Amino acid sequence: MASAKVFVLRTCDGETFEIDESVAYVSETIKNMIEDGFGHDLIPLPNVSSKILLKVIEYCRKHVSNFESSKKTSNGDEKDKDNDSWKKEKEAVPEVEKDAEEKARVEELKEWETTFIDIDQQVLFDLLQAANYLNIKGLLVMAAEKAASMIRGKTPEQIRETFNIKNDFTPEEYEDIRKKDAMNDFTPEEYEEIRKKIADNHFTPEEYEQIRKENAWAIE
Amino acid sequence: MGKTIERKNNPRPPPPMMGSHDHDPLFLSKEVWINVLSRLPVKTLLRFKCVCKLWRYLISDDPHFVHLHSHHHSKSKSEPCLFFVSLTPPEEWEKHREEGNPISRFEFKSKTLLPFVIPTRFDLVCIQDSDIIHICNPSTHEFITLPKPPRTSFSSCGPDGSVGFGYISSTDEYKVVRLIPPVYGLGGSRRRFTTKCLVFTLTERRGFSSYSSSSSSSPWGWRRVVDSPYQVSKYHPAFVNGAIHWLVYYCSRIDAEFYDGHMIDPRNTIVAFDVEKEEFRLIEHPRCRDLRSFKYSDFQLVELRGLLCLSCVEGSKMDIWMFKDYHYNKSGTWVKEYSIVLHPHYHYLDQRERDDHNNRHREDDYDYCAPRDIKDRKMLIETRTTGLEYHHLQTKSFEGFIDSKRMPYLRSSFFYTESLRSLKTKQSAQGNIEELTYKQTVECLKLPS
Repeated sequence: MASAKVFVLRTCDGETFEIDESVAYVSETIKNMIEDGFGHDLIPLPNVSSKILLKVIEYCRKHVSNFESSKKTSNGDEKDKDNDSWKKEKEAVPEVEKDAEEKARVEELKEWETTFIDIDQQVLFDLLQAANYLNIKGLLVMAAEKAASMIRGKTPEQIRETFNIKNDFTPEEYEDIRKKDAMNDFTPEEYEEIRKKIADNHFTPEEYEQIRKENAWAIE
Repeated sequence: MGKTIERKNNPRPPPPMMGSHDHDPLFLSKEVWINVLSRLPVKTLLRFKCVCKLWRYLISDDPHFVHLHSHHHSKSKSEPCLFFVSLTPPEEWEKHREEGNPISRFEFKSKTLLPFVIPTRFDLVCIQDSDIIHICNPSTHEFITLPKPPRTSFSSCGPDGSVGFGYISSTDEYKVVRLIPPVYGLGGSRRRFTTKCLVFTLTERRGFSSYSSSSSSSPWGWRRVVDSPYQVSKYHPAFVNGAIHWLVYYCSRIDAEFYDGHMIDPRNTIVAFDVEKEEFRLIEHPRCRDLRSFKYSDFQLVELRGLLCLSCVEGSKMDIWMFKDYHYNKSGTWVKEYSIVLHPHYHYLDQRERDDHNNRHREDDYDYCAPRDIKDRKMLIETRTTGLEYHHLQTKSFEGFIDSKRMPYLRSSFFYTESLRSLKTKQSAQGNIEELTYKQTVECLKLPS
């Protein structure tokens, strides 16, 4: 077999990484760049740090080796090499596999995935952004699902804190929405608890109004 | 003065969570946010509407986001939720509020005291309120009123007719189907005895807006389609296999003579309206008892987990027939699948008591008994005296879910599935507002898993 082509990626913090062609092609973005002729020199990835790229490459390598072993254990029909097959496997029910070998492979993959995505919040969200930029569907789905499960239990205020999202409602709008939201989720006790938490960390409507008036020249 | 307060950095220390205080605030692009948020359940998203304006837009107003969200959730076959509609209850009812697993509660205004809810399991709910139709999304609490059909000489007199609600998955469209019964007793040609059918399509182009560029979409309004072969019972249509099913309304005034060419006895017939093709077909159902002696609720069509079923209650026993192997044009087979001895607390009136009771009360003001849901060898049964109960099919035991005291008087339970589907439209009938005077409360609950 001819020697596999190798490509060099460079991260935003100046580090370089060598990967095989098959691994590189897991990323649609990189694949497009190579096909457009940018593969001869370093492929720059200004949006990705080395720490994150390491994780990404780990994923891509696993994806490729998993595909290779699935070709051996499945009943021979050509599984699509497209990233979607990864996603399809995630959603497929175990009864799809015919052999015990195939079943074991899928089990191992699931375990690997669980460990792989068991990372702290900062890394997860950076990984998510990177997967989006690099257009790696399977990684994107995995990270997005994990991110969703992480933010699900948070209060709106915690979300704003974590992601530095500005509360751009007027105090009246905000009160209006909160009143409606109260119907939507919590028991009266839970709601009271959360309201107290918010009261500790947040401006009252009067304060908001004050701030708005005082800073009108800066905002408008 | 130029005092600037930093809104971004909260003056008080942020609450510790998952080591984030070690890092700068995290950043996600809008595209990625859409990917993540669309995987969250409806309840969580409604709670997050207040995070910022962008999120509120995505969750309430962006049809692309709603579409993506339903795409991520359709495969998980989420369990339906339960809801009740009742006249806004007095304060005593607040005491029982915590029973069941409450999700939310909201109000709307109706024209009649007790509007009908069409029993379906979609994410939208259709309510028949005399000659007015309302559409509601119980998850988002949105509520619109459809324009009335144009007054013709037939629809201006006589009862309000039977209403059915259907859904076409290939086009993601809902249709409201209104069957207007014939007007009797005025002599004239046979044509007066036809049951007219009007259809209203709720298209999903740009969130039900009136202007749509697609050639296949229907105009926003009522359209008359082919007549129904029979007059139908006003109650309990069942939507199964892309068609709305009604029992034929049998009364002594209908004589088989009027229905030439049909081999099926109208007394044992179901009328099915295919919502996509907008055509009627007929299905025979098993003879249970002489229909004339039944209350409307003793003998009813019901959809249980995708199957068309016929529930026959006689004394303390409920028989459930299921229409198996039902394919669109071929007929299926009726199988008497369950025969349930009702809970001893279910108080049923014997025939004489019942006739006496019925003569003094409105049609829906008496005991009823109906199957509501079936899952994992348990059937959810509702009666007016016992409320909602689970009947374990193997052990034949009963397990209470919601007591009848807790349930709104005279009203039964209905299903919906959670979704963010928006009903924003410019074409709601604004003119009806004055007619809507009764306050109704919708209360939503989760079924126990």
